[in-house]
Amino acid sequence: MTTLLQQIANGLVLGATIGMIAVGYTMVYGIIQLINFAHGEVFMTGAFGGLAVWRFVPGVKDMEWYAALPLMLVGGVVVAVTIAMLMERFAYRPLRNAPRLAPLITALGVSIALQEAVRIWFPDADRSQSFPRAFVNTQIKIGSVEIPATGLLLIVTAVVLGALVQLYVNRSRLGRAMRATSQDPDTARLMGVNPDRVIVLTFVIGAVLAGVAGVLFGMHVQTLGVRAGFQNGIFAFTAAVLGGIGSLPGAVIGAFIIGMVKTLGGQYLPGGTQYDYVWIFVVLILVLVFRPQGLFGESEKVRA
Amino acid sequence: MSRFTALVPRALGRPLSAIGGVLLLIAAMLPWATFLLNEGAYPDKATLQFFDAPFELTGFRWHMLLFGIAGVVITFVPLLGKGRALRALGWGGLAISVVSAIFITSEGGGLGAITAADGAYAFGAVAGILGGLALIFGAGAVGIDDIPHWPDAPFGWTGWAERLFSWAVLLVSFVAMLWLVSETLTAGGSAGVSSPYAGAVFLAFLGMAGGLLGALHGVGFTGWISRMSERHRAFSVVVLLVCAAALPFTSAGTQYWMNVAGTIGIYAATAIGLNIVVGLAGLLDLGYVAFMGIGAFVAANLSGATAAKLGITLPFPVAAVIAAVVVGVFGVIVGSPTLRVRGDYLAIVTLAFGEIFTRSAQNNIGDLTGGANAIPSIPAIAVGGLEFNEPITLFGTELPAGVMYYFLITLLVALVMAVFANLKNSRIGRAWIAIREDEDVARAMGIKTGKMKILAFLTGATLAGLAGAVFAHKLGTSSYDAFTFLQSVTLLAAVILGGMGSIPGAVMGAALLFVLPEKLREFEEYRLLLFGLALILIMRFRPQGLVPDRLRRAEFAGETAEGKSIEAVQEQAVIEQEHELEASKGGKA
Amino acid sequence: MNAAARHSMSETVLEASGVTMVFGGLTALNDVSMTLGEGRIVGLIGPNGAGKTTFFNCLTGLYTPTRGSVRLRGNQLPSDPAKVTVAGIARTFQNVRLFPNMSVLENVLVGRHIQMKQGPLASLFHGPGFHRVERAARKRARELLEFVGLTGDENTAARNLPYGDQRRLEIARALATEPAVLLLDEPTAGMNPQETEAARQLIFRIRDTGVSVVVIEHDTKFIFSLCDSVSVLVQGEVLVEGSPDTVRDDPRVIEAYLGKPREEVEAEVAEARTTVIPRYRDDQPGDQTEVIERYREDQP
Repeated sequence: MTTLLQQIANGLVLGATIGMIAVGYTMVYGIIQLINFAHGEVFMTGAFGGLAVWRFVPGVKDMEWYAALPLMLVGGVVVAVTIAMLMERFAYRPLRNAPRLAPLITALGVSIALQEAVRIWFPDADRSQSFPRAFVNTQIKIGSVEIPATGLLLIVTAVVLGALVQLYVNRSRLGRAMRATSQDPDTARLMGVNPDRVIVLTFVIGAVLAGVAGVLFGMHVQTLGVRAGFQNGIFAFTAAVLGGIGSLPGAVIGAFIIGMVKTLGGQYLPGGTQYDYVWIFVVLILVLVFRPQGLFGESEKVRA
Repeated sequence: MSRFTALVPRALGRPLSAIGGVLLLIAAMLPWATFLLNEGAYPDKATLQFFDAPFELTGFRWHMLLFGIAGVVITFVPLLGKGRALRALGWGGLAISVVSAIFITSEGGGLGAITAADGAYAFGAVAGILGGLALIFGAGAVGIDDIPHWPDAPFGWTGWAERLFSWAVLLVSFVAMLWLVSETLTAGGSAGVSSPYAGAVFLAFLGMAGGLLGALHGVGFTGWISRMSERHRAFSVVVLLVCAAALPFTSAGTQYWMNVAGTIGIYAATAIGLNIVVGLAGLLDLGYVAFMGIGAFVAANLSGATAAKLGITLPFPVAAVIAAVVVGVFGVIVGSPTLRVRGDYLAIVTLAFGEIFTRSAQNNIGDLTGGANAIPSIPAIAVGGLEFNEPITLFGTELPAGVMYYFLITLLVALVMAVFANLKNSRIGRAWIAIREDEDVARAMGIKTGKMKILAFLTGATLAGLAGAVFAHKLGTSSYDAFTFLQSVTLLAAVILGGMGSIPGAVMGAALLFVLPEKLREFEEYRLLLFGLALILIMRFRPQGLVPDRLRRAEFAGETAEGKSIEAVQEQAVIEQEHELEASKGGKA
Repeated sequence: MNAAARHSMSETVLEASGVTMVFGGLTALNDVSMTLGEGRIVGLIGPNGAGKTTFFNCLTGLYTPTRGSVRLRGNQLPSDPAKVTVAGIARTFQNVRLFPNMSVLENVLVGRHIQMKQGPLASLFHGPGFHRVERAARKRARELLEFVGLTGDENTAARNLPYGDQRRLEIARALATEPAVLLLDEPTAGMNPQETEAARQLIFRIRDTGVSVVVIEHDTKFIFSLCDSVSVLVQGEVLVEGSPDTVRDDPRVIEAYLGKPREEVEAEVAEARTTVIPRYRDDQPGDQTEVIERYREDQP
C-alpha cells in the first residue's frame, strides 16, 4: 500500500512538471492549431537559463536559496520567453497561411536546432549538467509517503500557476481576446483584436510556465541534459490531448494522470521501469483513437 | 527576391548582367586568398596570385570563368528564357563565391583574407559576389518570363524519326547526368582524405551544379527532356538503369563511394515508400523508420548471425520476403487505429508508435533486437556462392568490394520506383490523392477511404521492410539506434526536400541528406544544427521542394504548372470577366 | 420529356419518409418527406438555415436520420456515404469541393473509381487488362467533360478553373459514378444569367439520360422554370409541396422567405432603389485592415 501511495505521489510530482509544459501546448494549439514540437525545448532552455544564472552570475552560488531561487527563476523565464517569442516571430508567423504540413516540419526543425544550439554553445553541454538544489533540502513525510520538498514545490507551483492562468484567460480583457481569437480569428479581428499580439501573448504565457517548470524540475532531479525537453515535451503533449486540447484545467489534470501512468506503470505493469514511458504512448494512442476530444475538450477542436 | 530585383529599371537589365558576367570572369582570375592559410594553399591555385593563363584554370575558378562567359554571351544573344538562365547563373556564381568567401574568411581569421592584407590583395571572392548579384538583378530587369516550351521534335518529325531523335537526346542527356553525378560525388575527394578544404570544394561544386541545372531548367531544357522521357518511358527506364549500373565504372567506383551510394539507395527506397504514405495519401507518418527497423531485425534474426537468438538461417531472398510480410502486418496494425485520426494528430499517433518501437528495441524485447548490444556480425548476402562484400571482376574491370550490394540496391530502388509510379497512375493512386485532397468528398465518390488508407500503410511499410532487410546485411549490424525518431524526421525531410509525390525528388532528397554529412565531415559537430535550420528555411522559402510534382508546386508556391503566378492568372481571369460583362452590357444598351 | 422518361414516370426512385434529424437539442429536420420519381426533377427551396443541405446529407448517408427512413428503389439506404454512392446517389456541394490539385481529367477519373474494376495487383503490374480499363475510363471521362460543356485543357489543375467551369466539373465528376439520382446543392450560386441558363439546359440534358435530379437553390425563378415539383423547406419542416405554379403563388412561401407580405416587400425594394450607398475609399481614416475586412465581408 505504501508503495502504491508513494508511486502516486511520485507521479503527481512528475505530473506537475508536465502540466506546466502542457499548458503551453494546449494554449498554442487552441489558438493557431499548431503542435509546437519545440515547446519542450522552451522548457529545456528555461532550465538551462536558470542553471546559467547559478553558474555564471557572480555571487549567486553563495546566496541563500530564497535569494538564489528567484534569480534563477527570473533567468529561466527570461530565456524561455525570449526563445518562444523568437520562435513565433521568425519561424511560425510567416507560415500562418501555409498548408498544415509546413509549420509542423518547421517546429521539428526548431526543436532540433535548439537542442543542438544548446549542446554546442552551452559550456560542456555534451554531458548531463548537475543542477543545484536551490531550495530546502529535506524530505517531507505525509503519512507513509516521502516527498522531497522540491517535489512539493513543483506540485504547488503547478496548481497555483495553472489556476492563475485559467483566471486570467477567463476574466481579463486580454484573456477574452485570446479566447475569441482561438474560436474565430477573423471575427475577432473585426472586433478590434490584434491577432498577432494575442498569439505572442499566448506563447509568452506558455513560455513563462515552461521556464518555471524547467528551473524547478532541474532543481528536483538535480541533473539536466539537452534532450530533457524532447521527452517531457511528448509527455506534456499527451497530457494536453488527454485533458482535451484547448482546456487548461484539462491539461493540468491530464498531466497528473500521465505522471501517475508512468510511475504506476513502471511499478506494476510488465516490463518494469524500462517500459514505463511506453505506457504513456499507449495512452496517447488510445485517447487519440477513441476519444480525441479528451476529457474536457470539445470535439470540434480536432482539426484536420 | 523578385520584389527586390523588380526595383531595377528595365533598361539597366542588359548592361547589369553583362557587367555581372565580366565580373565573374575577372573573379576567376583574381587571387582569392591573401595568404597561405594554415592548412595550405586554397585549392585551384586561388591563393596569392593573379592568374593569367585562363585556360589552365581548374576547379571552381574554371566554373567561374565558364559562368562568366556564358553570362556575357547570353546577355546579348536572343534566347528564350534568357532572364531565368541569367538568374540561375548568377545564383550559381554567388553560391560559389559566398561559400569560398566564408570559408577563407573563417580560416584566415577575418575579412582581410579575402580583400587585402600585408601588401597582398585578393578580391576574387568579392568580385564573384558582386558579379553574381549583378547577374541576378540584371536578370530580374531583363525579365523573368514563362519557361519556354520546346517543341517535341525539330521540323515536326513524327514516328520513327521522332523516336530515334528522342532516344539519341535521352541517351546523351542521361550519360551526361551520370557523369555529373560521379563528378559531384568525387568533388573534394573522399571524406577525410587529402584536402582539408574538401567541404568547401564540394559545396562550391554543388553551387556550380545548381546554377547549371537552374539555367538549363530556365531555358526549358529540363522540361523538354522530362516530357520526352515520359513519352518514351520504357527506353528512359532502361537507359537510366544502365547508367546507374555504370556508376561503378566511373571515377566514383571506389569501395568508399559504392558504400555511400548503396546507403543512399537504401534510404532513397525507404523515402519513396514514405512518399506513398505522405506524398500520395497525405498521411503524415512520423514513425516510419520503425518499419525499416522491423525489416532489418527480422532479416538479422533469420541470417544466421550468432547473436540472433532465433537460430534459424534462411537464404536471403526468403528472409527478405518474410521480412516484407511481417512489416506489412505491422503496417496494417499501425494503420488501423489511425483511420479516424486526422492531420496533426495522425502525426503524433505515428510518432508514438515509432517511439514504442524504439524503446522496445532498445530494451531487447523478446530477445529479438539485442538491445544496446544490437545484433552484430550479420553475414553478407550470398547468392550462388558469390559473397556480396567481395570485389568482383566485370567486363575486364575489377570492381571494388560492395559493388554487388550497390547493384542489388539499384534494382531495389528501381522496383520501388516502379511500384510507386504504377500505383500513382492507377485508380488506387488517384483514390489516395483524392483522400489527401478532401477525404469527405473522396468518400462521397464511393472510395472506401478506410481500406485505402490501410493499403497505403501496408504498401509503404512493406517497401520499407524490404529496404531494411537489405540494410541489415549491408551494414552488418542491426541496432535500435539506427531507427530512432531522428531518422524518421530525416526521411520525412528527404521526401519534403525533394518534393512530395515526386520520385526523382525523393531520390535527390535522400541523396542530399546522406551525402552532405559525408562530404562535410569537418562540420560534423554542427550537422544536426544545420539540419534543423535547413528544415526551417526550406519550409519558409521553398516548401514545394527541389523537384516538385507539377501540381504540388501549384499548391505550395501559388504557381500554375507553367510557372505563372496564380495571382497573375486570377487577375487575368477577372479582367477577362470584366471585359465580357462590359461587352454584354454594351450589347444590351 | 422523352418517351422513355414519361413511361417510367410512375416509378419512385427515391423516397424519404418522415425524416427527422435531431442534433443535441436542435431539431434540424422534422418529419420531412419527399418523393422522387424516375426521370423527374425536384426542387428544394427555403430560406438559409432551413435544413436543405442537412436533408441532402441524410440522403447521402452522411447523417443517419434520428427518425424516418430513406429508400432508394425500395431498398433502405446504406449508412456509409461510400456505399450510398455505389447504390446510385451522387451529389455536388454548396461550396464547390473539387480536388484542387488534381487536373480536370483526374477529378472526373476519381468519379469513375467505383466503375473501374482494377484490383491492387492489376494496379501494381499494369498488365493489358489494366490498360483496357484505364482507356475505357478516360474515354468515358472525356465524354462527360464534353457533355457538361468543358472544352478546355483537361490537364489544367482544378483550382485554376474559372468558377463556372468548376461547378460544371463537379457535375461531371458526380455523373461519372453513373448515378440513378443526382443531388445538386445550389448549382447556380454566383452565376450570371447566361451561365444560369446553360446550367438549366444541362440539367434537362442530365434528366434526359435517365438520371433523376434533386436541386437545392435560392434562385426561385430558376427552380420554377426547371422542376417538375417543388418542396419548400422552412425551419426543418416542409411548408408546401407541389407543382411550380402551386408553390409560386402560395403567400406562405413569400412570407417565409422574406418574413413579410409581398406588398410590403415591393415597397421596400422601390425605396431602396433610390438610396445611395457609400463606396469604400482608401483614404478613409482608420486601420486599413478594417476597411479591407469590411469590404471583404460584402463580397458574395
